[in-house]
Amino acid sequence: MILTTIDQVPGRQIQEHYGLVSGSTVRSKNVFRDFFAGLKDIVGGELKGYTELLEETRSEALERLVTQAESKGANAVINIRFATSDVAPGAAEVFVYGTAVRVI
Amino acid sequence: MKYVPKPDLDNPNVSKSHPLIDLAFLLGGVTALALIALFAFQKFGERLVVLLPAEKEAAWLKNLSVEKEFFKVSSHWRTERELNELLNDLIKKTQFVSPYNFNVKIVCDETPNAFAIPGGKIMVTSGLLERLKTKNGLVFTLSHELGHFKGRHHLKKIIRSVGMSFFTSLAGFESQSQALTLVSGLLNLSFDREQELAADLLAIELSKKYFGGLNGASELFEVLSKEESLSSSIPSWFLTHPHSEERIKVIRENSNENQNEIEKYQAPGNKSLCL
Amino acid sequence: MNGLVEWGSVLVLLAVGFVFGGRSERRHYKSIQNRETKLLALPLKSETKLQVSEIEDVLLVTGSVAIASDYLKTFIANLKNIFGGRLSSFESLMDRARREATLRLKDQAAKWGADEVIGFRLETSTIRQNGIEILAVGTAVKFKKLST
Repeated sequence: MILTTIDQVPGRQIQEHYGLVSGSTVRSKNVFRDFFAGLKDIVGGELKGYTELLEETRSEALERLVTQAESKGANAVINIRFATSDVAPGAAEVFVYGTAVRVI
Repeated sequence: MKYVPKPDLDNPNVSKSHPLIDLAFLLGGVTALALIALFAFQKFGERLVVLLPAEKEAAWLKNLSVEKEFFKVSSHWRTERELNELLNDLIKKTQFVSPYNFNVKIVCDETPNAFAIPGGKIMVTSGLLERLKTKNGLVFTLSHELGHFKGRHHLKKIIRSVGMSFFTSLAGFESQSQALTLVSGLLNLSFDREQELAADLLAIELSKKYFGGLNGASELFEVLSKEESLSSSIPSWFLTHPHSEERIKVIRENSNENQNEIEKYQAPGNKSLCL
Repeated sequence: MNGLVEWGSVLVLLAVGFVFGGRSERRHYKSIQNRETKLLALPLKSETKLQVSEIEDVLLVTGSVAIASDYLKTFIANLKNIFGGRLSSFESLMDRARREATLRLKDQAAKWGADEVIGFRLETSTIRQNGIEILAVGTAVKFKKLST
């Protein structure tokens, strides 16, 4: 499955499109990551636990998007956009959407 | 099109101001805000408080009797009666006018302390009674608490804290007010110390009237300062009471030449006061 | 006594935040400047139209980072909330996070062998009140190599 953030697949031609597809996941962290984040609140710096959490959440959301696109018979998704939000203390939601197309 | 890489020479996205200077300005602003708010509520509040006559306040609180819920009150009625007789004698001899129903009760606590409860109750700890050896010191203590009632200090304190919470929530500061709370906490302490000195002044006046002079009046502070060994090293801005040395100085400044007699006093020991 | 403890703990936390936060920030900026120079050769564009039509391969690349602000920054931000105005203590935080996320994206693209990254987009979200997460997304492309 080809994924792009622009409105075309470079080098290929779009044959037909199947509308909007999306994938979303909500994941929460475990207590240890939260605790270290609390300490980091004082000294600042990267929250590696959260970065990992968000990467995992993002990959999972993308997988779901790809699954939905495949089920429609697409072989590419264009104009992909992400929306991340902190839905509850300790949980992150990633929502990704794009247009499913078939390219040749 | 050809790509010509150009490195960034400067970073316009970050201002050059130093965070500590920022912090200093902000803290200054917050202190000014807290000062203005506190003084406004204190001065304005004091006017309001005076509008409520002490007679009304006394009448409302006449039957207030919750001290047993918070303190272990001694049931040693003999000493309690003695203290109340002394208090009534003091009030009569000095012609102290006040509408409250004054009453002395003993609290079982080894720490020497005395405090006033709205409504007219004066609480004295067994620890204080044990350590006071002169009637002069005891009378000064009782007069000091009477001073709090005369100065309407309870009400003024309430107005101050209600006013501050009102100001903080009205202006929408809420959780951002951590610094505001800290700063106003310090300023409130200075108001508390002012009140303590005012109560001391009344105690000086009443002691002079009762005994003719201030000999022995400073015994209270001598007793307290023995317990204060730790806090004497803390600067006074962090304390609710002025340092004992300062208060003893005030007594000395207000003394007359009368070398009045120091009358002895002996309370039953802590053990018999609090079985 | 209470006042002293409260004030004391705030001052200690502020000092810790200032010293360690400042140090980690400077170190981070050094590393960022280093990597930016190295990856300067890889063009990053936000446009969505391609100039070259001979494309060999396409890949979605991302870079993300979550950074927390230190105690001093948060304290200043809370105070600024009272008076309003530019919050310069957070500017460096946002700047670092943005550049870090972008670098990670470029890194991923460079490792894949990209010639260009187009359709670049940045997204921000907050974590736990005083941390932020930046997500950088783009499409990496490999040009067709003209064989002579």
